[in-house]
Amino acid sequence: MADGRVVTDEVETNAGRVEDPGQKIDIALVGQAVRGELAAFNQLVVRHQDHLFALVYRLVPDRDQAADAVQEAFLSAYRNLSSFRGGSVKSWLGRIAVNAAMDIQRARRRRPSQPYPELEDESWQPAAARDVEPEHTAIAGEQSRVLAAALAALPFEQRNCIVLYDVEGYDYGEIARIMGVSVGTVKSRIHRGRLTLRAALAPARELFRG
Amino acid sequence: MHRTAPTHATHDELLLARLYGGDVDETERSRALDQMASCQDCADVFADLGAIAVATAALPTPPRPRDFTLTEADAARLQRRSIGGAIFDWLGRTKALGGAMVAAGLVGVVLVGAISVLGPGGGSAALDEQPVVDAPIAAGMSGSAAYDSASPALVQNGASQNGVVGAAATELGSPRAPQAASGGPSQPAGPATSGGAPQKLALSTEEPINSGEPILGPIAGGQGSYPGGPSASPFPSSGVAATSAAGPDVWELALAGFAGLAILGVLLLTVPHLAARRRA
Repeated sequence: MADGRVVTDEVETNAGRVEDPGQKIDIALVGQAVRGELAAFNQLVVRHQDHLFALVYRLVPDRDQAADAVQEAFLSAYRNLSSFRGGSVKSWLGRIAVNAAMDIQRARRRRPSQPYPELEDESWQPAAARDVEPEHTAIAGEQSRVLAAALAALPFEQRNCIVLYDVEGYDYGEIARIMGVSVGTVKSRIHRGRLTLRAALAPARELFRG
Repeated sequence: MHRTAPTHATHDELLLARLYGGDVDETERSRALDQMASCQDCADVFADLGAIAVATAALPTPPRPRDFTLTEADAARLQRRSIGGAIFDWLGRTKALGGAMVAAGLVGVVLVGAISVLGPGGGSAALDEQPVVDAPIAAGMSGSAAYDSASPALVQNGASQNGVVGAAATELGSPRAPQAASGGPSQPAGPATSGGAPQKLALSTEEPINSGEPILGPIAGGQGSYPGGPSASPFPSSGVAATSAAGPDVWELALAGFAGLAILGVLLLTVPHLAARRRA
Protein backbone atom coordinates (compact mmCIF):
# COMPACT_ATOMS: atom_id res chain seq x y z
CA MET A 1 0.00 0.00 0.00
CA ALA A 2 1.64 3.20 -1.19
CA ASP A 3 0.13 5.37 1.51
CA GLY A 4 1.22 2.94 4.19
CA ARG A 5 4.76 2.98 2.79
CA VAL A 6 4.91 6.76 2.96
CA VAL A 7 3.63 6.75 6.52
CA THR A 8 6.11 4.06 7.50
CA ASP A 9 9.00 6.01 6.02
CA GLU A 10 7.87 9.12 7.83
CA VAL A 11 7.49 7.27 11.12
CA GLU A 12 10.91 5.69 10.79
CA THR A 13 12.49 9.02 9.92
CA ASN A 14 10.94 10.48 13.05
CA ALA A 15 12.23 7.52 15.07
CA GLY A 16 15.75 8.42 14.03
CA ARG A 17 15.37 11.90 15.52
CA VAL A 18 13.96 10.74 18.85
CA GLU A 19 16.27 10.58 21.87
CA ASP A 20 14.08 8.76 24.38
CA PRO A 21 14.66 4.99 23.96
CA GLY A 22 11.12 4.13 25.01
CA GLN A 23 9.75 6.49 22.41
CA LYS A 24 12.11 5.04 19.80
CA ILE A 25 10.73 1.60 20.48
CA ASP A 26 7.18 2.94 20.25
CA ILE A 27 7.81 4.59 16.90
CA ALA A 28 9.49 1.52 15.50
CA LEU A 29 6.52 -0.57 16.61
CA VAL A 30 4.12 1.84 14.95
CA GLY A 31 6.13 1.53 11.75
CA GLN A 32 5.86 -2.25 11.83
CA ALA A 33 2.17 -2.09 12.68
CA VAL A 34 1.53 0.20 9.73
CA ARG A 35 3.07 -2.51 7.55
CA GLY A 36 0.43 -4.88 8.90
CA GLU A 37 2.23 -6.62 11.75
CA LEU A 38 -0.42 -7.16 14.37
CA ALA A 39 2.16 -8.49 16.84
CA ALA A 40 3.95 -5.14 16.74
CA PHE A 41 0.73 -3.31 17.46
CA ASN A 42 0.03 -5.66 20.35
CA GLN A 43 3.42 -4.87 21.81
CA LEU A 44 2.36 -1.24 21.80
CA VAL A 45 -0.83 -2.24 23.58
CA VAL A 46 1.10 -4.12 26.23
CA ARG A 47 3.42 -1.19 26.77
CA HIS A 48 0.64 1.36 27.25
CA GLN A 49 -2.49 -0.39 28.42
CA ASP A 50 -1.86 0.11 32.15
CA HIS A 51 -1.21 3.79 31.76
CA LEU A 52 -4.20 4.29 29.47
CA PHE A 53 -6.51 2.42 31.77
CA ALA A 54 -5.33 4.50 34.74
CA LEU A 55 -5.89 7.67 32.74
CA VAL A 56 -9.33 6.72 31.47
CA TYR A 57 -10.41 5.43 34.86
CA ARG A 58 -9.73 8.90 36.29
CA LEU A 59 -11.99 10.39 33.66
CA VAL A 60 -14.68 7.70 33.73
CA PRO A 61 -14.57 6.27 37.25
CA ASP A 62 -16.41 3.10 36.31
CA ARG A 63 -14.16 0.13 35.72
CA ASP A 64 -16.27 -1.50 33.01
CA GLN A 65 -16.86 1.70 31.09
CA ALA A 66 -13.23 2.68 31.44
CA ALA A 67 -12.19 -0.72 30.08
CA ASP A 68 -14.59 -0.32 27.16
CA ALA A 69 -13.17 3.11 26.44
CA VAL A 70 -9.60 1.80 26.49
CA GLN A 71 -10.50 -1.09 24.20
CA GLU A 72 -12.22 1.32 21.84
CA ALA A 73 -9.18 3.57 21.95
CA PHE A 74 -6.85 0.75 20.89
CA LEU A 75 -9.23 -0.33 18.13
CA SER A 76 -9.39 3.26 16.94
CA ALA A 77 -5.61 3.55 17.07
CA TYR A 78 -5.26 0.40 14.98
CA ARG A 79 -7.74 1.70 12.43
CA ASN A 80 -5.97 5.05 12.26
CA LEU A 81 -2.34 4.01 12.40
CA SER A 82 -1.75 5.83 9.15
CA SER A 83 -2.77 9.10 10.79
CA PHE A 84 0.17 8.97 13.21
CA ARG A 85 2.66 11.60 12.09
CA GLY A 86 5.45 11.18 14.59
CA GLY A 87 5.92 12.66 18.02
CA SER A 88 5.05 10.84 21.21
CA VAL A 89 3.11 7.62 20.72
CA LYS A 90 2.11 7.80 24.36
CA SER A 91 0.54 11.21 23.85
CA TRP A 92 -1.10 10.08 20.62
CA LEU A 93 -2.67 7.09 22.34
CA GLY A 94 -3.56 9.29 25.30
CA ARG A 95 -5.45 11.68 23.06
CA ILE A 96 -7.37 8.83 21.46
CA ALA A 97 -8.19 7.40 24.89
CA VAL A 98 -9.32 10.76 26.24
CA ASN A 99 -11.59 11.18 23.24
CA ALA A 100 -13.06 7.74 23.83
CA ALA A 101 -13.58 8.62 27.49
CA MET A 102 -15.25 11.90 26.54
CA ASP A 103 -17.61 10.01 24.24
CA ILE A 104 -18.63 7.91 27.20
CA GLN A 105 -18.98 10.97 29.41
CA ARG A 106 -21.25 12.62 26.87
CA ALA A 107 -23.37 9.50 26.54
CA ARG A 108 -23.51 9.32 30.30
CA ARG A 109 -24.68 12.91 30.51
CA ARG A 110 -27.46 12.12 28.03
CA ARG A 111 -28.48 9.03 30.01
CA PRO A 112 -27.78 9.80 33.66
CA SER A 113 -27.37 6.75 35.83
CA GLN A 114 -25.99 5.89 39.23
CA PRO A 115 -22.67 7.69 39.19
CA TYR A 116 -19.55 5.69 39.63
CA PRO A 117 -20.33 2.63 41.74
CA GLU A 118 -16.62 1.83 41.65
CA LEU A 119 -16.01 4.43 44.32
CA GLU A 120 -17.71 2.21 46.84
CA ASP A 121 -15.65 -0.80 45.84
CA GLU A 122 -12.40 -0.82 47.78
CA SER A 123 -11.38 -4.31 46.77
CA TRP A 124 -8.97 -2.88 44.23
CA GLN A 125 -7.16 -0.60 46.67
CA PRO A 126 -3.46 -1.33 46.47
CA ALA A 127 -2.02 -3.40 49.27
CA ALA A 128 -0.16 -1.42 51.88
CA ALA A 129 3.57 -1.83 52.21
CA ARG A 130 4.64 -3.95 55.17
CA ASP A 131 6.51 -1.16 56.94
CA VAL A 132 3.71 1.38 56.75
CA GLU A 133 1.69 2.13 59.85
CA PRO A 134 -1.85 0.73 59.65
CA GLU A 135 -3.19 4.10 60.76
CA HIS A 136 -1.39 5.83 57.95
CA THR A 137 -2.75 3.28 55.50
CA ALA A 138 -6.25 3.87 56.77
CA ILE A 139 -5.89 7.63 56.43
CA ALA A 140 -4.48 7.33 52.92
CA GLY A 141 -7.34 5.03 51.94
CA GLU A 142 -9.92 7.43 53.32
CA GLN A 143 -8.19 10.36 51.66
CA SER A 144 -8.28 8.58 48.29
CA ARG A 145 -11.92 7.62 48.73
CA VAL A 146 -13.16 11.13 49.51
CA LEU A 147 -10.94 12.70 46.89
CA ALA A 148 -12.09 10.27 44.20
CA ALA A 149 -15.69 10.95 45.14
CA ALA A 150 -15.14 14.72 44.98
CA LEU A 151 -13.31 14.40 41.67
CA ALA A 152 -16.08 12.27 40.23
CA ALA A 153 -18.65 14.87 41.28
CA LEU A 154 -16.92 17.62 39.31
CA PRO A 155 -18.33 18.60 35.93
CA PHE A 156 -16.48 16.34 33.51
CA GLU A 157 -14.91 19.26 31.65
CA GLN A 158 -13.22 20.39 34.86
CA ARG A 159 -12.35 16.84 35.87
CA ASN A 160 -10.74 16.08 32.53
CA CYS A 161 -8.58 19.18 32.70
CA ILE A 162 -7.48 18.53 36.27
CA VAL A 163 -6.66 14.88 35.59
CA LEU A 164 -4.76 15.67 32.41
CA TYR A 165 -2.82 18.44 34.13
CA ASP A 166 -2.22 17.13 37.64
CA VAL A 167 -2.11 13.39 36.97
CA GLU A 168 -0.94 13.06 33.39
CA GLY A 169 1.30 16.09 33.33
CA TYR A 170 0.05 17.51 30.03
CA ASP A 171 0.61 21.22 29.61
CA TYR A 172 -2.18 23.71 29.06
CA GLY A 173 -1.68 23.78 25.29
CA GLU A 174 -1.85 19.99 24.91
CA ILE A 175 -5.00 19.82 27.02
CA ALA A 176 -6.55 22.58 24.94
CA ARG A 177 -5.85 20.60 21.76
CA ILE A 178 -7.22 17.38 23.22
CA MET A 179 -10.35 19.03 24.59
CA GLY A 180 -10.88 21.26 21.57
CA VAL A 181 -11.06 24.47 23.63
CA SER A 182 -8.84 27.48 24.16
CA VAL A 183 -5.90 27.54 26.57
CA GLY A 184 -7.69 30.18 28.62
CA THR A 185 -10.68 27.88 29.00
CA VAL A 186 -8.42 25.05 30.14
CA LYS A 187 -6.77 27.26 32.75
CA SER A 188 -10.10 28.53 33.97
CA ARG A 189 -11.47 24.99 34.26
CA ILE A 190 -8.44 23.84 36.22
CA HIS A 191 -8.48 26.79 38.64
CA ARG A 192 -12.21 26.66 39.21
CA GLY A 193 -12.16 22.87 39.42
CA ARG A 194 -9.51 22.96 42.15
CA LEU A 195 -11.52 25.47 44.15
CA THR A 196 -14.63 23.33 43.73
CA LEU A 197 -12.68 20.27 44.88
CA ARG A 198 -11.48 22.14 47.93
CA ALA A 199 -15.00 23.20 48.80
CA ALA A 200 -16.25 19.63 48.35
CA LEU A 201 -13.47 18.32 50.57
CA ALA A 202 -14.09 20.87 53.33
CA PRO A 203 -15.58 18.32 55.77
CA ALA A 204 -12.50 16.10 55.34
CA ARG A 205 -9.98 18.90 55.17
CA GLU A 206 -7.88 17.56 58.03
CA LEU A 207 -7.12 14.44 55.99
CA PHE A 208 -5.19 16.58 53.55
CA ARG A 209 -3.46 18.88 56.01
CA GLY A 210 -1.35 16.05 57.39
CA MET B 1 -1.24 33.44 65.78
CA HIS B 2 -4.20 33.13 63.53
CA ARG B 3 -4.22 36.00 61.10
CA THR B 4 -7.72 35.51 59.78
CA ALA B 5 -8.82 38.78 58.32
CA PRO B 6 -12.45 39.70 58.78
CA THR B 7 -12.51 40.54 55.11
CA HIS B 8 -11.53 37.12 53.79
CA ALA B 9 -14.94 36.75 52.19
CA THR B 10 -14.01 39.61 49.92
CA HIS B 11 -10.66 38.09 48.94
CA ASP B 12 -10.20 36.62 45.52
CA GLU B 13 -9.73 32.87 45.90
CA LEU B 14 -9.58 32.41 42.15
CA LEU B 15 -6.48 34.59 42.18
CA LEU B 16 -4.91 32.13 44.61
CA ALA B 17 -5.86 29.21 42.38
CA ARG B 18 -4.34 31.02 39.44
CA LEU B 19 -1.20 31.68 41.47
CA TYR B 20 -0.97 27.98 42.24
CA GLY B 21 -1.40 27.19 38.53
CA GLY B 22 1.30 29.70 37.58
CA ASP B 23 -1.26 31.70 35.63
CA VAL B 24 -0.58 35.21 36.98
CA ASP B 25 1.46 38.17 35.88
CA GLU B 26 3.80 40.05 38.22
CA THR B 27 1.17 42.46 39.50
CA GLU B 28 -1.29 39.68 40.25
CA ARG B 29 1.44 37.61 41.84
CA SER B 30 2.39 40.33 44.30
CA ARG B 31 -1.28 41.00 45.04
CA ALA B 32 -1.87 37.31 45.74
CA LEU B 33 1.21 37.10 47.96
CA ASP B 34 0.10 40.18 49.88
CA GLN B 35 -3.32 38.64 50.28
CA MET B 36 -1.80 35.45 51.72
CA ALA B 37 0.54 37.37 53.99
CA SER B 38 -2.30 39.32 55.52
CA CYS B 39 -4.97 36.62 55.63
CA GLN B 40 -4.52 33.18 57.17
CA ASP B 41 -7.57 31.84 55.37
CA CYS B 42 -6.04 32.78 52.04
CA ALA B 43 -2.82 31.05 53.03
CA ASP B 44 -4.85 27.96 53.95
CA VAL B 45 -6.61 28.02 50.60
CA PHE B 46 -3.28 28.06 48.81
CA ALA B 47 -1.90 25.24 50.96
CA ASP B 48 -5.06 23.16 50.44
CA LEU B 49 -4.87 23.58 46.70
CA GLY B 50 -1.34 22.22 46.74
CA ALA B 51 -2.26 19.30 48.98
CA ILE B 52 -5.25 18.38 46.84
CA ALA B 53 -3.20 18.50 43.65
CA VAL B 54 -0.57 16.21 45.18
CA ALA B 55 -3.21 13.81 46.46
CA THR B 56 -4.95 13.79 43.07
CA ALA B 57 -1.74 12.81 41.32
CA ALA B 58 -1.23 10.02 43.86
CA LEU B 59 -4.71 8.54 43.60
CA PRO B 60 -4.51 4.77 43.26
CA THR B 61 -6.02 3.14 40.23
CA PRO B 62 -7.74 -0.20 40.09
CA PRO B 63 -5.96 -3.07 38.40
CA ARG B 64 -6.61 -3.36 34.70
CA PRO B 65 -9.60 -5.69 34.38
CA ARG B 66 -8.51 -7.35 31.16
CA ASP B 67 -5.92 -7.50 28.47
CA PHE B 68 -6.53 -5.12 25.58
CA THR B 69 -4.38 -6.77 22.93
CA LEU B 70 -6.07 -7.33 19.60
CA THR B 71 -6.69 -10.78 18.18
CA GLU B 72 -6.37 -11.75 14.52
CA ALA B 73 -10.15 -11.79 14.41
CA ASP B 74 -10.28 -8.19 15.72
CA ALA B 75 -7.81 -7.10 13.08
CA ALA B 76 -9.76 -8.85 10.32
CA ARG B 77 -12.99 -7.29 11.59
CA LEU B 78 -11.37 -3.86 11.57
CA GLN B 79 -10.21 -4.37 7.99
CA ARG B 80 -13.75 -5.22 6.93
CA ARG B 81 -15.06 -2.39 8.97
CA SER B 82 -12.77 0.09 7.31
CA ILE B 83 -14.49 -0.66 3.99
CA GLY B 84 -17.83 -0.30 5.73
CA GLY B 85 -16.53 2.86 7.34
CA ALA B 86 -15.75 4.30 3.94
CA ILE B 87 -19.29 3.56 2.83
CA PHE B 88 -20.68 5.14 5.98
CA ASP B 89 -18.48 8.16 5.41
CA TRP B 90 -19.81 8.45 1.88
CA LEU B 91 -23.35 8.11 3.15
CA GLY B 92 -22.66 10.74 5.74
CA ARG B 93 -21.43 13.13 3.10
CA THR B 94 -24.41 12.25 0.88
CA LYS B 95 -26.73 13.05 3.74
CA ALA B 96 -25.12 16.44 4.26
CA LEU B 97 -25.19 17.15 0.54
CA GLY B 98 -28.82 16.07 0.27
CA GLY B 99 -29.80 18.26 3.19
CA ALA B 100 -28.02 21.23 1.68
CA MET B 101 -29.68 20.65 -1.68
CA VAL B 102 -33.14 20.44 -0.14
CA ALA B 103 -32.54 23.62 1.82
CA ALA B 104 -31.13 25.51 -1.17
CA GLY B 105 -33.92 24.26 -3.43
CA LEU B 106 -36.67 25.29 -1.06
CA VAL B 107 -35.12 28.69 -0.43
CA GLY B 108 -34.74 29.15 -4.17
CA VAL B 109 -38.34 28.19 -4.85
CA VAL B 110 -39.61 30.61 -2.22
CA LEU B 111 -37.38 33.44 -3.43
CA VAL B 112 -38.14 32.96 -7.09
CA GLY B 113 -41.82 32.66 -6.32
CA ALA B 114 -41.77 35.82 -4.26
CA ILE B 115 -39.76 37.78 -6.81
CA SER B 116 -41.90 36.67 -9.71
CA VAL B 117 -45.04 37.79 -7.89
CA LEU B 118 -43.87 40.91 -6.06
CA GLY B 119 -40.59 42.02 -7.57
CA PRO B 120 -40.28 45.09 -9.81
CA GLY B 121 -38.81 43.11 -12.66
CA GLY B 122 -40.82 40.04 -11.94
CA GLY B 123 -42.71 38.19 -14.60
CA SER B 124 -46.25 38.88 -13.54
CA ALA B 125 -45.46 42.46 -12.52
CA ALA B 126 -44.06 43.12 -15.97
CA LEU B 127 -47.07 41.55 -17.53
CA ASP B 128 -49.42 43.59 -15.39
CA GLU B 129 -47.65 46.82 -16.14
CA GLN B 130 -47.12 46.81 -19.85
CA PRO B 131 -50.67 46.36 -21.11
CA VAL B 132 -51.84 49.31 -19.03
CA VAL B 133 -49.52 51.66 -20.88
CA ASP B 134 -50.27 50.08 -24.18
CA ALA B 135 -53.99 50.11 -23.66
CA PRO B 136 -54.56 53.57 -25.10
CA ILE B 137 -52.64 52.71 -28.22
CA ALA B 138 -54.49 49.53 -28.65
CA ALA B 139 -57.68 51.45 -28.29
CA GLY B 140 -56.58 54.03 -30.80
CA MET B 141 -56.03 56.69 -28.15
CA SER B 142 -53.50 59.41 -28.72
CA GLY B 143 -50.09 58.92 -27.24
CA SER B 144 -50.14 62.23 -25.41
CA ALA B 145 -53.45 61.46 -23.89
CA ALA B 146 -51.97 58.37 -22.45
CA TYR B 147 -49.01 60.27 -21.03
CA ASP B 148 -51.09 63.18 -19.84
CA SER B 149 -53.31 60.92 -17.95
CA ALA B 150 -50.38 59.85 -15.84
CA SER B 151 -50.30 63.23 -14.10
CA PRO B 152 -53.26 64.78 -12.42
CA ALA B 153 -52.04 68.25 -13.42
CA LEU B 154 -51.79 67.16 -16.97
CA VAL B 155 -55.20 65.71 -16.84
CA GLN B 156 -56.54 69.13 -16.11
CA ASN B 157 -54.36 70.94 -18.62
CA GLY B 158 -54.72 68.54 -21.40
CA ALA B 159 -58.30 67.62 -20.91
CA SER B 160 -59.58 70.52 -22.86
CA GLN B 161 -57.65 69.58 -25.92
CA ASN B 162 -57.55 65.86 -25.88
CA GLY B 163 -60.71 65.13 -24.09
CA VAL B 164 -59.96 61.53 -23.71
CA VAL B 165 -58.02 61.33 -20.53
CA GLY B 166 -60.62 60.35 -18.04
CA ALA B 167 -60.62 56.69 -18.61
CA ALA B 168 -56.90 56.46 -19.10
CA ALA B 169 -56.18 58.53 -15.98
CA THR B 170 -58.34 56.27 -13.95
CA GLU B 171 -56.74 53.30 -15.50
CA LEU B 172 -53.23 54.50 -14.79
CA GLY B 173 -53.40 54.03 -11.11
CA SER B 174 -50.45 51.78 -11.75
CA PRO B 175 -46.98 51.93 -10.23
CA ARG B 176 -45.94 54.12 -13.10
CA ALA B 177 -48.32 56.96 -12.25
CA PRO B 178 -46.33 58.42 -9.33
CA GLN B 179 -43.24 58.52 -11.45
CA ALA B 180 -45.10 60.39 -14.14
CA ALA B 181 -46.55 62.77 -11.63
CA SER B 182 -43.16 63.65 -10.24
CA GLY B 183 -41.86 64.18 -13.70
CA GLY B 184 -44.35 66.92 -14.32
CA PRO B 185 -45.98 67.61 -17.67
CA SER B 186 -45.74 65.10 -20.37
CA GLN B 187 -43.87 65.28 -23.58
CA PRO B 188 -45.58 65.06 -26.88
CA ALA B 189 -45.49 61.55 -28.02
CA GLY B 190 -44.25 62.34 -31.44
CA PRO B 191 -40.57 63.09 -30.84
CA ALA B 192 -40.12 60.11 -28.65
CA THR B 193 -37.87 57.68 -30.39
CA SER B 194 -36.40 55.23 -28.03
CA GLY B 195 -36.35 53.89 -24.54
CA GLY B 196 -39.07 52.68 -22.27
CA ALA B 197 -42.15 54.60 -21.37
CA PRO B 198 -41.00 55.68 -17.89
CA GLN B 199 -38.05 57.60 -19.31
CA LYS B 200 -40.30 59.40 -21.76
CA LEU B 201 -42.52 60.50 -18.95
CA ALA B 202 -39.73 62.26 -17.08
CA LEU B 203 -39.79 65.59 -18.85
CA SER B 204 -38.85 69.14 -18.10
CA THR B 205 -41.53 71.31 -16.55
CA GLU B 206 -40.29 74.25 -18.63
CA GLU B 207 -41.85 72.87 -21.73
CA PRO B 208 -45.13 74.44 -22.52
CA ILE B 209 -48.08 72.25 -22.12
CA ASN B 210 -50.66 72.39 -24.81
CA SER B 211 -49.24 75.50 -26.35
CA GLY B 212 -51.97 75.47 -28.89
CA GLU B 213 -50.56 73.00 -31.26
CA PRO B 214 -51.92 69.60 -31.32
CA ILE B 215 -49.67 67.42 -29.27
CA LEU B 216 -50.59 64.39 -31.15
CA GLY B 217 -47.72 62.85 -32.91
CA PRO B 218 -47.71 60.67 -35.93
CA ILE B 219 -49.60 58.04 -34.05
CA ALA B 220 -52.59 60.27 -33.49
CA GLY B 221 -55.72 58.34 -33.98
CA GLY B 222 -53.78 55.19 -33.70
CA GLN B 223 -53.03 55.27 -37.35
CA GLY B 224 -49.63 56.92 -37.53
CA SER B 225 -46.16 55.63 -37.20
CA TYR B 226 -43.10 56.81 -35.29
CA PRO B 227 -40.42 58.75 -37.05
CA GLY B 228 -37.81 56.27 -36.19
CA GLY B 229 -39.81 53.51 -37.70
CA PRO B 230 -41.53 50.63 -36.04
CA SER B 231 -38.48 49.71 -34.04
CA ALA B 232 -38.35 53.15 -32.43
CA SER B 233 -41.84 52.99 -31.10
CA PRO B 234 -42.04 53.50 -27.34
CA PHE B 235 -44.69 50.83 -27.21
CA PRO B 236 -43.48 48.16 -29.50
CA SER B 237 -46.01 45.46 -29.62
CA SER B 238 -43.18 43.03 -30.17
CA GLY B 239 -41.64 44.27 -26.89
CA VAL B 240 -44.74 43.36 -24.99
CA ALA B 241 -44.73 40.00 -26.60
CA ALA B 242 -41.06 39.55 -25.76
CA THR B 243 -41.66 40.46 -22.14
CA SER B 244 -44.55 38.13 -21.75
CA ALA B 245 -42.81 35.36 -23.62
CA ALA B 246 -39.25 35.56 -22.24
CA GLY B 247 -39.94 36.77 -18.68
CA PRO B 248 -42.12 33.97 -17.43
CA ASP B 249 -39.88 31.44 -19.11
CA VAL B 250 -36.91 32.57 -17.06
CA TRP B 251 -38.85 32.50 -13.82
CA GLU B 252 -40.45 29.22 -14.63
CA LEU B 253 -37.10 27.74 -15.52
CA ALA B 254 -35.57 29.02 -12.30
CA LEU B 255 -38.53 27.73 -10.34
CA ALA B 256 -38.27 24.34 -11.99
CA GLY B 257 -34.51 24.28 -11.40
CA PHE B 258 -34.82 24.95 -7.69
CA ALA B 259 -37.68 22.51 -7.34
CA GLY B 260 -35.58 19.89 -9.11
CA LEU B 261 -32.69 20.62 -6.77
CA ALA B 262 -34.91 20.11 -3.75
CA ILE B 263 -36.33 16.88 -5.16
CA LEU B 264 -32.84 15.59 -5.91
CA GLY B 265 -31.83 16.43 -2.36
CA VAL B 266 -34.80 14.53 -0.97
CA LEU B 267 -33.81 11.53 -3.10
CA LEU B 268 -30.23 11.73 -1.83
CA LEU B 269 -31.52 11.81 1.71
CA THR B 270 -34.00 8.98 1.40
CA VAL B 271 -32.71 6.50 -1.16
CA PRO B 272 -29.57 5.35 0.71
CA HIS B 273 -31.62 5.07 3.90
CA LEU B 274 -34.33 3.03 2.18
CA ALA B 275 -31.73 0.85 0.47
CA ALA B 276 -30.04 0.20 3.81
CA ARG B 277 -33.35 -0.73 5.37
CA ARG B 278 -34.13 -3.06 2.51
CA ARG B 279 -30.74 -4.72 2.90
CA ALA B 280 -31.32 -5.03 6.63
